Amino acid sequence: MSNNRTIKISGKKKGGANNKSRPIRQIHSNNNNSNNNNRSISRHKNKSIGSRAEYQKLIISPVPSSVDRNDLLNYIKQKAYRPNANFVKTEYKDQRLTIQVEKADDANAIVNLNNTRYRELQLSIIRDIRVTTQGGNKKEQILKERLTAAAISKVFEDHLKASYHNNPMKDAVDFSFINGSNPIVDFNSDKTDKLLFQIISKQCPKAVTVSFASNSITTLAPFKSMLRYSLDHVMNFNFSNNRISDLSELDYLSDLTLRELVFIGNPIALQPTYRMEVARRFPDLQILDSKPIGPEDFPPSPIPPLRANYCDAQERQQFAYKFLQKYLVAFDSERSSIINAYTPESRFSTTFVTDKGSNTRGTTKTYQRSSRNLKKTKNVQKNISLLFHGADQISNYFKLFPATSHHLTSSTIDTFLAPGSNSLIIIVHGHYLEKLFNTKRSYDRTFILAAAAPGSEAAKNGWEATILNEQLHIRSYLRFPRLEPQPNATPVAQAPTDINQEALVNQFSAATKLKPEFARECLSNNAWDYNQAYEVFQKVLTQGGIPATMYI
Amino acid sequence: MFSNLNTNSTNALTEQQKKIIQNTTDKAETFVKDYYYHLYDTNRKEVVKLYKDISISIWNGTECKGITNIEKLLSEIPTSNHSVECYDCQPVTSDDPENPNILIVTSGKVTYNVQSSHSFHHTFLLIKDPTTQNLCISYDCLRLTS
Repeated sequence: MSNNRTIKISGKKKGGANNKSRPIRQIHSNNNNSNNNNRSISRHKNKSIGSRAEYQKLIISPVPSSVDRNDLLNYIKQKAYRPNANFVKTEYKDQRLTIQVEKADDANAIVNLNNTRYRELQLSIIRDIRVTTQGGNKKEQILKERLTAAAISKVFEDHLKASYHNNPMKDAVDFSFINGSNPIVDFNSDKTDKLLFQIISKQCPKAVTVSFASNSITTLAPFKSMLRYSLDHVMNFNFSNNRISDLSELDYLSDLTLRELVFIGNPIALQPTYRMEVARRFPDLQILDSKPIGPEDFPPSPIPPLRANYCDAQERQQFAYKFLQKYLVAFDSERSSIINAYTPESRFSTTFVTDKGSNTRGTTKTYQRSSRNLKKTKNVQKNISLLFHGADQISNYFKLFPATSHHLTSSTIDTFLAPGSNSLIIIVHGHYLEKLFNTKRSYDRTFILAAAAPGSEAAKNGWEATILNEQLHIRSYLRFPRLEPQPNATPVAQAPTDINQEALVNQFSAATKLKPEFARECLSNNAWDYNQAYEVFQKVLTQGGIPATMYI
Repeated sequence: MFSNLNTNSTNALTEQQKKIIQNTTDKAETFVKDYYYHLYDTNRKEVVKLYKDISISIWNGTECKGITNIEKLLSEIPTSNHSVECYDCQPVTSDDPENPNILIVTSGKVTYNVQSSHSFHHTFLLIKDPTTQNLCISYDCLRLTS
């Protein structure tokens, strides 16, 4: 492939492919000339005008390419938080992340983070005092980057136009063999893949299967950022005939929802532990290289089988599912309304743990401050104050909780009646997405419920149960282990009953103003996952794809 | 805003309520540190004594009701080593206002048979055994989360 890289340069210079490449080169060379001539002038300019005209430039190192730069940046923004701080630009090169901020005070706050730890890295943060190349050059640099980005996007867009006539409904999209004929499109580069994800997100909202086969891919690192492009609908990835040789590359896919993967034709697929390593990493993966994941892909386990959702009675599971559905939809979309599910006697507390090296985004502090981990804090007053009492206090606490989006359908739910009592126990293990940063968190949530008294505030607001006790444990996102079905195989109560569906349709129709029949269709297309249906609705809406006749 | 919220809440509680929370916390600590996991890892046979015949134990989706079934499950699980990284507890209203039941939620790491490592999440309800007046497990529900 090193051939490709030289072709890339010469190809561009000759400008055979398109005319765009010529201006790039011209700008570039002009720029070099003028730069030499102007250097002394620029320097003066820089000195005399000083920090007023120039943004504050800071260099952060070492930043290996495996680091998620967005995450690092968010970490720095959070750590050095100042109101109205303006981050003008970031640049990554040679393991160094250069950031530019507008104000000197903001730069000081960031420089103060020098030697701070981020994951396993000790960051050196220094000011860039080199005389930077001046205005015109910078503009040209930006222009050059824009032109390259435009050229890359055009390759993808042309491909979609030629292969799919821009049909937005396609469920499988093939981007194989793109790199060979278009060396400018380097699938190992963050920039290329981000453009690609943007295009998939915009033009392929229904894509379930995407192929990146035969593109000389050596690293999956850029694919980690897919999560930020709302591409949860893509579940089957074809990476066949690439050059992925390290099994640890698979970890970059760990935040994605996966159903099927293909790595045939990559060095990793020849490793003896390959299938086992993939199966272990992705418990929800069903098919690998066109062959279903089976028991033979797992090492023999010393423990009894782990089984899916437990319930002591089918109707209780239905009840629990209905309650959770209402509760989590309210929690995500109209959080203040959950107050009615609590009583003056309700108790709530939360705990939070992070794994070493996990991301430390903005919301971590919110969780940490309210974490009632009794193993860590022996402060009696604090432990008493972090046990929230009554609907008002609990509801106030949730006002501080980040905006979330839950996916109940992928949760594991155990439901049973407490022995010798009428209280219903529901324990949910699942994950939610923090909307602000697109961060996934895993949670384990224990509810002790009692039937809502007729005529109570709860009952009046449609809650069939009230929450007596609730414990919410939050942790870094981790896939749930692979589960076997319950032996007596009662179908998992994932599809709500007709009555529940009716309620959901009404709710969805009210929220979207869609006619009930279209609200029903949208919900049923999304496995009756309210949030997912709403996201799809929003997406189609922004694309202007909903005719007026579908509205009430 | 947050500190206000906390002060208000602390003030709203009576001394009696605070005492109950503290009492609950102490009992939970003893249970988590000295009893359950210690016995589970070092003297498995003793664990079943923490249950009563009405107790129910759910292990990763498998239900065990009553002493006999719980004993059987405990015997099927290989040697273990638990490391509790986080626990929390809450008083749960019972018939006796002075002695509420206790909800305990723990999480951490567990290794089975030395080589099989997992994260776990475990919920318990402790109630007072009407005959002995000691605490016993009304139900517990364990899930390996990795």
